[in-house]
Amino acid sequence: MSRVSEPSITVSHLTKDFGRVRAVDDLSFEVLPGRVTGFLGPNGAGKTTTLRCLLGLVRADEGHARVNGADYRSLKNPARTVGAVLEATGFHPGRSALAHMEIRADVLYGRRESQRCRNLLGFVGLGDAQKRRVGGFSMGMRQRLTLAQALLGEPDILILDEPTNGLDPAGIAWLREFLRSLADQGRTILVSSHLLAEVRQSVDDVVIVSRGRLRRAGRLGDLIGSGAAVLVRSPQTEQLRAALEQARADVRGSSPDGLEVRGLSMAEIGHRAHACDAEVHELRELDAETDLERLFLALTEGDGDA
Amino acid sequence: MSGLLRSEWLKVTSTRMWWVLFLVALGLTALSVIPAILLSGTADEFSLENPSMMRQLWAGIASASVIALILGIIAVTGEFRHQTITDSFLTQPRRTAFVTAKAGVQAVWGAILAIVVGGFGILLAIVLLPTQPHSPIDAGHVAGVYGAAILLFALYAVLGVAVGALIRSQVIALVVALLWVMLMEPLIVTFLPAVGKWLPGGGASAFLQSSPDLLPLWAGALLLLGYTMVFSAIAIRTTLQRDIT
Repeated sequence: MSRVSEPSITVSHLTKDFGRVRAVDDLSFEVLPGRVTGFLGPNGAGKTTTLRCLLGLVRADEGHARVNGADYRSLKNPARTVGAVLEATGFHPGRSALAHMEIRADVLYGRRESQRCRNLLGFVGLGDAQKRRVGGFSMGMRQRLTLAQALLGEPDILILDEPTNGLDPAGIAWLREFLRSLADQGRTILVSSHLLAEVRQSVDDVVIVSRGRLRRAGRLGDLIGSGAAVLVRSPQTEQLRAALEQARADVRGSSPDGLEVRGLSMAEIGHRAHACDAEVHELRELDAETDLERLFLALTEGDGDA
Repeated sequence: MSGLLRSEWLKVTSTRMWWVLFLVALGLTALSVIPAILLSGTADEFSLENPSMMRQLWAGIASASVIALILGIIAVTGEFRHQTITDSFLTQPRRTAFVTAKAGVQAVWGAILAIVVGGFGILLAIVLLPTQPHSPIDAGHVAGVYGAAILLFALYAVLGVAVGALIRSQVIALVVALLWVMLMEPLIVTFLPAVGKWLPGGGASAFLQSSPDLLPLWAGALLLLGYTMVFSAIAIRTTLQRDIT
């Protein structure tokens, strides 16, 4: 496993056109191991194309997308390094779930590994359906089978494209906890979604794209800090306002309702208040959820079929 | 490579398609052998007392060779049709290895098809021949045709893999292959025999030696291999490099 400081996924100046449409436009970002990174943007923002470039399925026009510093297609046994849960991964309708797993195991391990395949199918909740033909599977069952396939190689890097599609709320919660446990083992998790609310609870870092371009990348906490407002009430309102504005915060409102502060974390506001001898009677985050959603929309504004 | 071969093998045995194709091939063989014997009559040019009619009868055990071609075509185009190609390329990104493994496995399946179907045709003939007057069964010739059919089916299945890789679309590949084998090639062979013998079907006919004007068997085999190599090489550099979206 790579050291925490080294990114396991590097996307650098990635550009890809489909005909006259620019799907990905000079996109650069990094993904760190041991963290769950949300890859966010509206539908049509270029997320799937970026992930498919990363997996060697789509050829970049310019720039590159690499895993552990190498092109996917040059890795010796790539599915042992990277697991992928992609939307358009197909199954043969007349083939059983177990056979789909074993076909994969043959290539990854050089042998059938039937027991490992059965265990994994049981793990994702398809234990009773392993011998059934996939043609009769529901969307959620197909999604679980794709996940089992991705995990088969015990990869250090897991890439998931809209993995919650078709999963019920219990399945989504289960997946969230599972991805967290993988990240805690030091693995790299990159999960795409067009819904910020969906990954809000479960990601450490975010990469936000829109129209193929990077809008924001960093820790989720920093994003909240930059977007959400904090309410602070103090008898020394003007004194505090001056101190906060000096720290380049965006300050609105007045006593006795308190000040609405943006651009500083609660800790920083508390620190400024203490430094200027202002008494603090109330200090709380103002509906961060709504603010974050508003920020996300602002960042990805103007995209067509969001 | 052995894991890749096992994987490709399981891709075939884990669905029922091969079963269907085997049944169709058995049917085609029966349709070729049974009328050839039962309608052979006596003492005319179609009589089996005529050794050249006997040679045609035995060549009929290979009449389902087009099924071997279809076997190879479906092995590749089925992956594009059901989008299993995504996972195939994720686990083995090298296109040459992918095509080689598919070709290897399909060659074996083509050979198995010929063993089953050719054996069935020979048995059918041996059972039915006593009902008609016929010239003696030349065991050496029958064994030769049987062996040639096994090699032919194997090469045809591999050619199917190459054609499938080049065309990718299952429907188009099947239509093109069937039109070519059943319409274009017979026309060219009939009207331009000098060109016809250099086509894939000419290579195939060389195996059964049903006419004196054909290439020797070894040259027919090389011809089929040559077409396969050219089609595969083009596919690996072009159609198989296209984005998988």
